[in-house]
Amino acid sequence: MDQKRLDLQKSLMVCPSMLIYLTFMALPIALTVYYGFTNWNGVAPSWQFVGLKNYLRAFTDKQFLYSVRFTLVFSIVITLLSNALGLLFAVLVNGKQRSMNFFRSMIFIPLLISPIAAGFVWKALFSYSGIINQFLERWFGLEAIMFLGKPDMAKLILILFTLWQNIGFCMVIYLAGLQTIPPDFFDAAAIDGANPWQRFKSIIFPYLAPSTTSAVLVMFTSAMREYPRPLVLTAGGPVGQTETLAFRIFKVGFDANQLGYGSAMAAWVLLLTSLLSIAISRLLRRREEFLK
Amino acid sequence: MKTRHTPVSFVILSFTSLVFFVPIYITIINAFKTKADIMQNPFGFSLGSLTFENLKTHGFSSYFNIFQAYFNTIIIVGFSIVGIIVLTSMLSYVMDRNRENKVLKIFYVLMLAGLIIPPESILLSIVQILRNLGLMFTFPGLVLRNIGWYVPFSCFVFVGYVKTISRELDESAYLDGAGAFSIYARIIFPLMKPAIASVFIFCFLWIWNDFLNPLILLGDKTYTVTIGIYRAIGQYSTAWDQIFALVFLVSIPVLLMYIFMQKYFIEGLTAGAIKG
Repeated sequence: MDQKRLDLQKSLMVCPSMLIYLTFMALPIALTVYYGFTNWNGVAPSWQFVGLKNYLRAFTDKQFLYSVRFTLVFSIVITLLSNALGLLFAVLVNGKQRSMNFFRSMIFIPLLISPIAAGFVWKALFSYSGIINQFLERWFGLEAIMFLGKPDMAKLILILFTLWQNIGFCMVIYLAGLQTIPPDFFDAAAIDGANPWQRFKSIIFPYLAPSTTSAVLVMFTSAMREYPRPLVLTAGGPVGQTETLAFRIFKVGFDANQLGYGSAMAAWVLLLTSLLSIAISRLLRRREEFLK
Repeated sequence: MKTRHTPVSFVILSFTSLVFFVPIYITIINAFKTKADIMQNPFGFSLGSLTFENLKTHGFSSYFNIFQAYFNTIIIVGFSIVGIIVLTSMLSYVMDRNRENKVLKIFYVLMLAGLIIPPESILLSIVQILRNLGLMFTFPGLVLRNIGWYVPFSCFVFVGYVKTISRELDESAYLDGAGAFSIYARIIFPLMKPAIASVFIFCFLWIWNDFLNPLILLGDKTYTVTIGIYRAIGQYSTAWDQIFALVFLVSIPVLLMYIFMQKYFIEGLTAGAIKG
């Protein structure tokens, strides 16, 4: 086969996915930034350029700034806790016995349920006249607790709910990483008389560096886009206290018909998330260098 | 490495499993009870009073049909996954074997952006693009978006795996006069099974459970499982019989997928995959 035909074949093989990616990922990113400079409402046939107005307005928008803060804190808490617990359970269930398999499945299964569906169950559990309150009342004679009606409590339940679904994901990533550690290391450690903590600190944790990078990044970026869980569990309430960034963008962009301003907020979110993810991955990749 | 259970780890794992299972247990038992039974005692059950009535009434009402929801979702998940696997595995093969190519190098960097951007930040713009293409409120529009969205994820998994497949295999086929496509289709693709399994599993899970994109890109006329139950149950419902029945019904297919593909879950991930 001559070189020309070979090149043509190769181009035909890469074109479809590149074209789809450019149309549905790269172009929308550019358009978002562009719409941010306009006052378009999303449906009108014409619009004007308004310069930096939308972009600057975000800095004085209290609701937007609140959801930036809330989503950031939420993402950091979720990233740290789901990784710490995912790693712990990965180490504990790493084995071939039946019981290990059972525990693994139990921790993993919540991940399979759609956040929307699971949200309804958590709401049934934690609402004021919900199942948990009935349980507390019936067995302990306690008064009903406003789990979802008070901001701090609602945030706590939202975090527990998210962790319940995320820990399994981290656990699987770390389990996969554990399989790549050469078994001789553990034999050597055993000969040196290392205790479990020493083994974890000097073998498992450093050698899981690539898994840590993946799991941390996935957790962080997915928490920054959180939407369905607070939507069902709290509807963003009480009084907007669990409104994530996605909530804000859609409320403004679709419900209030301010596509221009919604896009400007979306562009800020895009920039913020990208910069933080790049920073996190730089930081974590340094830990991987000794493996090369 | 082998870990044996110490009493402490056994206790921790048992307790965690128990707590993790509570919401699932509550859903399963109450999906098979009458409303009166649920209200009276949501925690327990007696075998004699279990019934399918609940599943039947709520799975097939005038505004929600579980089979319609399954059907729509399977169509979307199916076409998206086939598109992702076929198109991106081709891309990844050519990409790995032609590392000096400038265009592919630039595209690789562009794809990195796709791994970190939040979907909500581009959804407003995707709506405009689909409108201009005449694909808004259609299945193909959503499927194309899904393929575009998962190109970076699947490409990194696939490139990571293709790297481990020896180049001697394609070189000898090349000397025999085979073209790039036939080498890919006959030699490389069949060898990529573990990587394909892990892409399949995660894309199935994510697309099946996706809410935001179908909600906005499909509109009011049709529904997937997640949109269907969101609309059927509504924001302020306290109808527990309906909630548990519907959550049970929409979760069954994913649980089945997990049971059938369980052994690939970790195997697929270990096989050079998910290294970014």
